[in-house]
Amino acid sequence: MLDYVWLVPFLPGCAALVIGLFGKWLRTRSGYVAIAAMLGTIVVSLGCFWDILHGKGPFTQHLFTWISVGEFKAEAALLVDQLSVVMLLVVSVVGSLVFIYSTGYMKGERGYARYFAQLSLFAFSMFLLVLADNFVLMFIGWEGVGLCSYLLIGYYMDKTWAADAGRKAFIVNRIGDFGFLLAIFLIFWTSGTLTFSGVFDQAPVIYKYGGGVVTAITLLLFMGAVGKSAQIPLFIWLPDAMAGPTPVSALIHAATMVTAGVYMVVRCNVLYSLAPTSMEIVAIIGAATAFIAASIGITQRDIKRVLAYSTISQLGYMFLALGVGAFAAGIFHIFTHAFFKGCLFLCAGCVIHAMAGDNDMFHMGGMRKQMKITWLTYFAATLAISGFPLTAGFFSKDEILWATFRSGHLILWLVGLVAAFMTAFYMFRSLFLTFHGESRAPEKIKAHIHEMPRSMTFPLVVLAFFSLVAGFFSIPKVLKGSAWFEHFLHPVTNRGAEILHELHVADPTPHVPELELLLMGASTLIVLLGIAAAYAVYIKGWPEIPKAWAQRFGVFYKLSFHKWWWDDLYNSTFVQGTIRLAKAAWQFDIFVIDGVINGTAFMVRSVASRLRKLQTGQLQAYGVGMLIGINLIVLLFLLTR
Amino acid sequence: MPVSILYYALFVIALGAALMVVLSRNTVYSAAFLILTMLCLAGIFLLMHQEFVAAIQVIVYAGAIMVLFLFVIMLLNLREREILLPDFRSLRIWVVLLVLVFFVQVGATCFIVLRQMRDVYPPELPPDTIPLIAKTLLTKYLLPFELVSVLLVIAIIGAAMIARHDEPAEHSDSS
Amino acid sequence: MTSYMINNLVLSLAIFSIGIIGFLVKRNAIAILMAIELMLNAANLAFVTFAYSFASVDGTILVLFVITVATAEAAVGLAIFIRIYRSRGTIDVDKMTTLHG
Repeated sequence: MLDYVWLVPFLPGCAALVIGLFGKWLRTRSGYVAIAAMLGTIVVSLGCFWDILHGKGPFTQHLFTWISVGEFKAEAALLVDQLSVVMLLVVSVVGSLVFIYSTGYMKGERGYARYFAQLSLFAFSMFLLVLADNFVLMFIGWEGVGLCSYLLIGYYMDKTWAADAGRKAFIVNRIGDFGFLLAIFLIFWTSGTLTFSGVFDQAPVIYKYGGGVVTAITLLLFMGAVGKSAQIPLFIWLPDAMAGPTPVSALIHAATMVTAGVYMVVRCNVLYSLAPTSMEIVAIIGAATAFIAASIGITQRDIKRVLAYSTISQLGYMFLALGVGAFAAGIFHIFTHAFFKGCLFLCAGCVIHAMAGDNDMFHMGGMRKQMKITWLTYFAATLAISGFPLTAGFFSKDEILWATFRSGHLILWLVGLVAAFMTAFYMFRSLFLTFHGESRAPEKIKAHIHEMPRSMTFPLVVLAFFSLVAGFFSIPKVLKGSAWFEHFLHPVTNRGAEILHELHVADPTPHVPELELLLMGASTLIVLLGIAAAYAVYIKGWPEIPKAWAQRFGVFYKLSFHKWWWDDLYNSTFVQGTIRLAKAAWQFDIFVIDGVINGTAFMVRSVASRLRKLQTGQLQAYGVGMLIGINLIVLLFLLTR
Repeated sequence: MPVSILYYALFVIALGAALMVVLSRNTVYSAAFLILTMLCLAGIFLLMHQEFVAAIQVIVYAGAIMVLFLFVIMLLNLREREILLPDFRSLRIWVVLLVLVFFVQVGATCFIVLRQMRDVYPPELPPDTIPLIAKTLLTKYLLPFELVSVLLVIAIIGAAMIARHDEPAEHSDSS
Repeated sequence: MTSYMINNLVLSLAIFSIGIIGFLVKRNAIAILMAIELMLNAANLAFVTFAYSFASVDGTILVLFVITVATAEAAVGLAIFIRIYRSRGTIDVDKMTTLHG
């Protein structure tokens, strides 16, 4: 099956082409074309997974040589190993479910075919990014998903807010991509190759442990990851990206694209292992993002924004895991997060659909009566993301926290723990506000609330099921499990550690089962505390206590509600600064540059008006010139003999 | 030595006729002297046993092309003033000087080049070259041969298109 | 018989120079075309002379091509002059300066 891996990007790419070209004719059938392509990729991905599982080690499929300039060579080659096959499965399964869901959600929208063409193009780019065998191809996929993200955020392009959100995402991502590109240049400059295997094999030789070059490379790569995966300080685009259709938020801005940064860092774990400073920075930024995003999520009223901040926060967890060297744990969190966050977003889509497009949770409430399936699946996914014991999120988040603690980052561990508390709190807050209590919707909308068609509920059920059980892939050893997931990824994620071991740098801390159990208990307790707090405030104390609290903790409330004034800070510094700079440049342009240009043009014109007299239009005048020229050439020939 | 005398006679007549082409002010005379030049050159070709080229020179050049020239001169029915257009007298001295420089320089170049090749003169052509010309033209030069025929067709069509009478509407437009 | 060669080349160069003079000083367009024919003839003479002296028919064949091209050129050139004469009433190249700067 590995030989057919080229089909994985090929199928959605073809679908995108077909729908893009014949969308007018296909109309609603375009959805089926896209779904068929995605189901095909599931089959191929499962086949690849099966082969990899049976020890058919890393497999490279060389498609064609794309660029060949001197030493530089960019091959279009696909790499299948344990890491990429996991990502393949996540993208194809969640992607297919979202595609199916979209046929229901987007029914009757204008540009239905355009939507599926762009979504298929996204799948194509994402598969390319995941399967790439070298940095150049990965960058193509990286830019491709960025483009599709831009297109899909701005799906309602006739609305200013959607177009603005798309542009914001694109521009902010560009800052990160700039770093990524610089990193690629630096890698090529120092190692002379861009294939993953080539770079990583010679990395221990050419890069000194903790040296400046490798630190610069990893930091620049991380800059790209920060942009794509919405970390501090570039996270501001993701909440605005919710302007796109909800299935897009589920697939691109929760389950797959935003995890590309995490994937890329894990892919480069060899380089990161050689740069301890970068690892520290990754961990700190991850923890800070987890904390700040969670704190913002507590007070948001828009259900999709809550989920967006929760996504940022969970991505922060992933980077925290990478920063403390637990690469497999980060990937495992991608894996579980894709299911429960995809499920949450799709549920939110159902809710918004039922509310006739209203996102504000304060207008909802009591929807569990009419929307049983949505409520149950949302509940399951909320349990998972909060880290309720035995759900998927519990295992993955706990592994991250344990890895953080074990590596000695006690403060980061504490921050993560607090963020976990807040996660449980705000997620249950959204659950309670949306589905419990009395309905606060206007009468007209209240009558409109209904359960969604099966094409939309089916993906919910599947995703909810996975969010409950996906954790069993990797039950930690301390709970008598096999930590299968970590074991499976070991050949890829452990390369950095092996290199450090060879260099006699790493000092694996001894494993203390009792301590791990204790910490697990502590985080469980924290989660339960968060759930209880949410219950106390939003079920028992509604509506007095939230208001009272908002007043009592006025400063914190405002800090959180206004997103730490992060957007305003950027607005007053970068945006206003840019505008002011642009104005200055405009003045400079008008007076200095235009002056020079006009002066040049004037000079050219005055010289030309004299020179053009040479052009008499008389044949013989040209003939004389030609004769003089011939004479000079022959003279030159005679003289040089 | 009659061949030699014949050759020098042709040489002198060709040179003189060529001069007269330029010097005579009447275009019809110029054309006539041009024909004479061509005939003299054909004679020189014959002396070098190049019968085929000589024949072509007489038939195509002196016969066809020059007749075309005369035909056009007659057709246009040029007025006296047009036929006897004065030359650029002010330019003439400079032009002649330039051409003299050209003559000397190119002559010197030819002299230098040929002196280096003097020792390697190969044997001269056999008297009967026509079969050889035919063979070479249809093998080695087949593609240029075909291309030249295409060029001729294009030239015929182009000349016919350019020289045809205009429609009345077009005529006022182009005047 | 190598004396043919030097003589012929001198003759060729002389006729070519006369052609240049004619091309540069004549004002009648048809006379200019004839001066060009003169130059082409001079070139033909050189070709034939080299073909003869170096025992190769390539020069001869080139002469054929030159004659063909000259025919085409004369046909098109004369057609253009007919057209110009018809629309302007003159074939004085001194007056054909529409393309002046």
